[in-house]
Amino acid sequence: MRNFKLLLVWIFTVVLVTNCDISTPGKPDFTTSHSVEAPLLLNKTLQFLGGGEGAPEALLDTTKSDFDSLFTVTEGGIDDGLITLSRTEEFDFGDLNDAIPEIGIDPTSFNSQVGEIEIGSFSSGDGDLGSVDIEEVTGSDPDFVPAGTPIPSGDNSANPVEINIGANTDFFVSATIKRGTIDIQVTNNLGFDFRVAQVQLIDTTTKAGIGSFAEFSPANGNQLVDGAIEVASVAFNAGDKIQNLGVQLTIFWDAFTFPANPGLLAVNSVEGNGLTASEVEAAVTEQDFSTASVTSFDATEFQFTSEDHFVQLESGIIELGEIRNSLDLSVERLVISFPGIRSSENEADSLRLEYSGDTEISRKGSAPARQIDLTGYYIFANGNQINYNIQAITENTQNAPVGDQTRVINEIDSVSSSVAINNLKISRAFGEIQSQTTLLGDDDPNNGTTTSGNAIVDAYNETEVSLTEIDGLDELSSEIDGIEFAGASLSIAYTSNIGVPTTIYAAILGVDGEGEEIFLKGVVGTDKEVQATDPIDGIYANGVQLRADQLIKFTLDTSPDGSVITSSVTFDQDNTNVLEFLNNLPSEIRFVGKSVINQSNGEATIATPLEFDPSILVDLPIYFSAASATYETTVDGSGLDGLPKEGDDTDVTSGELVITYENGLPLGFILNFDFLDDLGNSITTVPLPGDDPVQLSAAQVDGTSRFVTTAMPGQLIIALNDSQLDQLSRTDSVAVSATLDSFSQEAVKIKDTDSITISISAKASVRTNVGGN
Amino acid sequence: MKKLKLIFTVFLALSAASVVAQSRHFNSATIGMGGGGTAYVDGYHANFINPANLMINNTGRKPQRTIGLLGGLGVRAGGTMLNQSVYDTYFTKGLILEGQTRSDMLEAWFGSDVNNTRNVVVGLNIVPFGFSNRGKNTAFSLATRVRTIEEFDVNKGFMELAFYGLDSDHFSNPVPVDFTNTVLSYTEVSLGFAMALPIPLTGLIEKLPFINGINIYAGAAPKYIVGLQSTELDFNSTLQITGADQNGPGTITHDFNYSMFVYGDLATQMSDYSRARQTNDKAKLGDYVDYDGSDIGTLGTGFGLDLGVTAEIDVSLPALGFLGKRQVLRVSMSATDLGSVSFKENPKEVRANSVFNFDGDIGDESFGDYFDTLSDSLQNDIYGGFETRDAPERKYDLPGMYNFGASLTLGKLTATADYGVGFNDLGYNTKISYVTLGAEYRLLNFIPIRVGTRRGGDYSAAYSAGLGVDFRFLELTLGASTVSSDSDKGTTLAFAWSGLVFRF
Repeated sequence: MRNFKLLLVWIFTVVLVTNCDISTPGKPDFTTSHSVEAPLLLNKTLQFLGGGEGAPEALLDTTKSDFDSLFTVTEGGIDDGLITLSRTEEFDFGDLNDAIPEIGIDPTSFNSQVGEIEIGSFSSGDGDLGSVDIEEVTGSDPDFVPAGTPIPSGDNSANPVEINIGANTDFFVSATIKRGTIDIQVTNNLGFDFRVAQVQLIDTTTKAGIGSFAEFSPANGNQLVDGAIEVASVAFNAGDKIQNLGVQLTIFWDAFTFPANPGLLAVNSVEGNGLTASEVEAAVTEQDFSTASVTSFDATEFQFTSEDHFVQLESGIIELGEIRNSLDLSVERLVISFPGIRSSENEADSLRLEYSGDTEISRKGSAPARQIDLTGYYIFANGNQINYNIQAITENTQNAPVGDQTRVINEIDSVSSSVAINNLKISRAFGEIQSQTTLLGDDDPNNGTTTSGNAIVDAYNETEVSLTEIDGLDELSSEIDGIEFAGASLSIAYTSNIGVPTTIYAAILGVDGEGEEIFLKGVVGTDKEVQATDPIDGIYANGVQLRADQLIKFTLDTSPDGSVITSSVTFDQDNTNVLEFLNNLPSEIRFVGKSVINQSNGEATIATPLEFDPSILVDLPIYFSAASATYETTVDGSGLDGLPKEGDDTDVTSGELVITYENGLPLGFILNFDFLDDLGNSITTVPLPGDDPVQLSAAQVDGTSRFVTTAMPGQLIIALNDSQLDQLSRTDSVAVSATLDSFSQEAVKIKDTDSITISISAKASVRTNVGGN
Repeated sequence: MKKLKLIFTVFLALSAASVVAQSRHFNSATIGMGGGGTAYVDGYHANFINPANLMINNTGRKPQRTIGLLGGLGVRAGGTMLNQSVYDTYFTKGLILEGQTRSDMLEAWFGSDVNNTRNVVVGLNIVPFGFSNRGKNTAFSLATRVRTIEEFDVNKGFMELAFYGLDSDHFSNPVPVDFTNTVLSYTEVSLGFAMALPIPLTGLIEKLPFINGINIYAGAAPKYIVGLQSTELDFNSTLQITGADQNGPGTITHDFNYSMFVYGDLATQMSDYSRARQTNDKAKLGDYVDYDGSDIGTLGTGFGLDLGVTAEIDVSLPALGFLGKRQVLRVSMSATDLGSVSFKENPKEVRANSVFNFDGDIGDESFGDYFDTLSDSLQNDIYGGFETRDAPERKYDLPGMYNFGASLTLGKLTATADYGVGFNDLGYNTKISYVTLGAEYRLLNFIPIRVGTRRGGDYSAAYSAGLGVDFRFLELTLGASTVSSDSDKGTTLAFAWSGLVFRF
């Protein structure tokens, strides 16, 4: 029974369940198909230039950092509204004071010696130096020999007379004779004629003769007849020493009658005649001696060829060395004067250095060295020489206390010192300035020098180069090719106070985003053309000396009075290849160069600071022609990896972007997209071969003004089919290329307000598979 | 993160309001037996189906006291949008849903009228605690129940948008795109009382054939209701898309209006945002709305009542005597969920009426900036550009029903039959009558095997089954039901768990 009940329950359950309409849901397996169709933009007008809050949206937003201050817009005139890409870069070259000539003066020394001592009169008095009477000569006493007494011929050689003249030579003590004679003047008033009289100077102490004897004789024409006054000269040998001076006379006479009133035989004077001594001992009065000297400039960079040529010193020092006095005399006053060194341009203001009073130079002593600051002084140095004079006055020893009056003065005694003019720095110079070459900007010493010894500046040395970066062109210049600009110019504005003709030789190198280089160079025959003979040695690029036809030169206007002037140099298509240069769309301009100052070496004035502050200005009006110019760029396409790929549950079966436009820009293009995989292989292209081009037509322009007159409407469609979309997820990059044409492929101008108005709609079909296999 | 938080907050608000309203309370036993139980469910669950049943012991073996800790959980999801027939026809056969296939699919799903709607309803029934004591003549119980119901209705145009996308061909003329979303959540604290009624003709009834005796019970379970959360969103719109041509890139025009009732902090936050937008057009919804649910439990209150009467008849059916000696017939009827809950804490109505016309005209903005801010703009300026205004308290009737049922227990076998009809159409509740049939066989007396079905109502026929262990002192059972494929009425799935039920 129990089993029966259970059976009934199961039967009931089975019947109930089998009658239930319970179905199990199947496994999902379906595919949805969606359309996504949406407007993205409606009549959006994009002005060519603009940006900023409240301003219309612009293709080139000048408020962005890349384009900030890059564009200017012409206001007024026939080009009103014309956009010009402008870039100004100031170069900081510092001053060009290196171009100031440098002068160097060799240090000189002076040695003002006493020199040979000439001895003149040995007596300071007016009277005779000594005399003898007839008795002393002949031995006959007039008191005992009556007048008329015949005297036979004879002589006194056995007992010559001596006249001591030393007592009458004042402060003279001795002298060591180098050469010359002493003239002895004798007066014969003895009353008879001397046939011959011989004179010998003697040391009255030693009785030794000094020098040779002299003779009064008819043969010598100086016979001492009665009443005659004659002179005889005593010659000396070098080294003869005169001291305790006396005269010894040996007289020879013929017979004569004894005079009634015989006079004296007197030595009137003893005078040196060309008598020089190497040393003298005497009590001397003030001795005045002087020396003139000269020191020379280095004439390499500057020449004083006229009395009025000068340099004004920014700084400099005269160093006067220790003054040494070897004299046994004090130098009471020593004056060293520099007539060409003046505190003003007046000749009267010459520099004088004096030692006197407290600074007098003691006997056999010295004075300390001195330095004199020459800041602000002028140096006139005609012939590139500076003269200076030394004048010294010694003490008067005769006024010295007794016992200290006589001094020994040797001919080689001197006052000596040295003069050096150092650290000369010129602030202004007027003269013949030798051509100076100065690098513009910093010099990297690691660059070395050329074989000619000139410093090297390299356009790719980041220390030396002055770099102008045009950020906005960096990417563009690497991507666009074939744009021909018109009316472009590049100029250098500068301020300068250089009064000397100055020529700049420079390498101005434009490098575009792909590294292509164009050198700015002068047109042949213009003043911008650089000749091979010009001083361009050392202007390099990448370690290679640049040729003349890779360089440009220009001259600076000169300042008439040393004041700062403002001027500029413009490189246009008439004098340079600036169009080629700027058509390359350089993203950076590299500048290195050197200035050559006073290349003609002529007379000029130059003064510090030498200021040359240039700015390079690039003006590139958006006035160009494009005839099948190309624009190529590659953009990252890795973001497409999120797109569904073949076999995915989701499949984009078609995609289409429709762009309706009204182009107010005078530039049209044909676009091509090449989707590349990570190996660079093409996955697909838009448009596919044979499809309509993706083309945007240029607006029409006025034949004269070249500005847009009529916008061009049109529509372009970018469409991808199912098979293309299936492959897009493999995209690694997209190569975008465009062929650009200006209106009629002629030159056109773009205004800031030129604009394009576009409407964009997107349409896609998406299938999504759910479940299934 | 802010946006995510906002979305989460709204979701929480919506789903927090979603605990209610199947028409009839169900537990693992009733769900396994087709959803009836008017004359079968005893213990504290009887509070919500038929309080008179507090007096019955449907197995005859249960102790007089029952306590449930997390004493019941049931969830039901279904609706006319869950159309298995359409699903099987169009979504399982590898079809590409485009062209005529797509048109046929939507026709089969929604019918021809673009304004036809389909819905999805999710209901959650939780009895966190329940206790009942069955005496000889009286019984009482205390039970709590959290009910949440969420209903989402969409029209055909809404689903066309989902399957066509932004297709200018299909939406060349304005197409209505509508949806509604209603969430209601509340907690009931129910106190049940039942008693045996005196039998007037004592002795006479026992003389009737097959009847050995009769007891009549009556019960009532008043309940206090705490409104947890509620929102009502009614969104109506038309969508028109024109494609690109020489005149322009086309347009997308969405002409819409919506209203939503919100309460408490959420209402305050949305009101603050609305006011802020009047002076600051850059105010963002996310900066104002950050609902954390801390006001749940304070938003509304209400009272309800469940009433019932059960006649328990001891019968002797000799023909069925082989099924067991214990033969009990119970006939019951009850009226449940009488009452309402009112949400009155800061009620606000959020309203918007605008046209989103997207034609690519981005004004002076840059293309990138415009699309970068588009989502914010849509959220704050277009669809979030609403106004709020004070609303009267919002009163929701409970999903009241009239239930009539019978059960016949023959030993280990119990068969049930129920009839029900709703007093309103809230959630699963429907004014369309339905019947349920169910059976339980207690294998070895402690393994209830349950099957059942439901017919009628607003939904397709449901089939259910249940299983578990049900000892005298402990119950742990499960039940589930499903609705068969119905091209019109969709399908429904339901699941229930008895929770931990102890008896002593």
